[in-house]
Amino acid sequence: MRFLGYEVKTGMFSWLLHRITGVGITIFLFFHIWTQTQIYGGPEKFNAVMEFYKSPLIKISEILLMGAIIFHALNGLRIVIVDFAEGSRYHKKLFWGAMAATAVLFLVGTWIVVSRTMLH
Amino acid sequence: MAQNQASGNAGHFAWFYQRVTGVILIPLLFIHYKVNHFSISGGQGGFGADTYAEVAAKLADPFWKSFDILFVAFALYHGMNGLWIIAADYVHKENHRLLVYGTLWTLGLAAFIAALIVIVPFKYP
Repeated sequence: MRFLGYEVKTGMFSWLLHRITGVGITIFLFFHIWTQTQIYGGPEKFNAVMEFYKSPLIKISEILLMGAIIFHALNGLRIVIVDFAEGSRYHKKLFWGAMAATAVLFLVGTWIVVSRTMLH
Repeated sequence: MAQNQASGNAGHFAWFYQRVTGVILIPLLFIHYKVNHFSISGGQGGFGADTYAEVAAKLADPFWKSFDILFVAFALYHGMNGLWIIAADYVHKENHRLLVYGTLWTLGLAAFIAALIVIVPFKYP
């Protein structure tokens, strides 16, 4: 597979995307904890924060975040299998299996979010 | 074998526990999403748009208090240890590495304390 003139190998692609999604999820985690601290502001303040989270831009970010988490979890599981269960013997199959499962879970999750929050 | 896979400069301890915590996080994450983001708000809103009443009721439940403490501890350790594994590939001077390591631990512990302050004493009338 070629991308922007580079020969992209699946191993390099997943290694890089694993790091990028990992950093992104960690930054998000700090924001998520901060949001929860707003519970001490009482019902009105907290619901105002939640109201802000209903905007379409936030919804799209949350869907992307969910995709990043699904990829990171399944690619991480692939890494563990390669490292501890002799997965290197069938690493190509493992990679495509993890990507297929990521795609399916991401589509199902996206459908649930979109159908509940945008289509009514 | 595992030894052959250990790469980078973060150390075998960081490498090994990144995998252990990662595997533990998968079921915790699934439950967190299912219960916190896909089931409340009466099936609408839910995802990131929960109400105070729903969040507060769950946050006051001892079972979910324990679950959340466990979840946030593993998630923060995995996140900060992951940042350390990345940083260790690029930062080589010993005192710089110590600075990065200390900063990551400080940030992680601060976030964990903030999370504990939210979770532990919270009461819902």
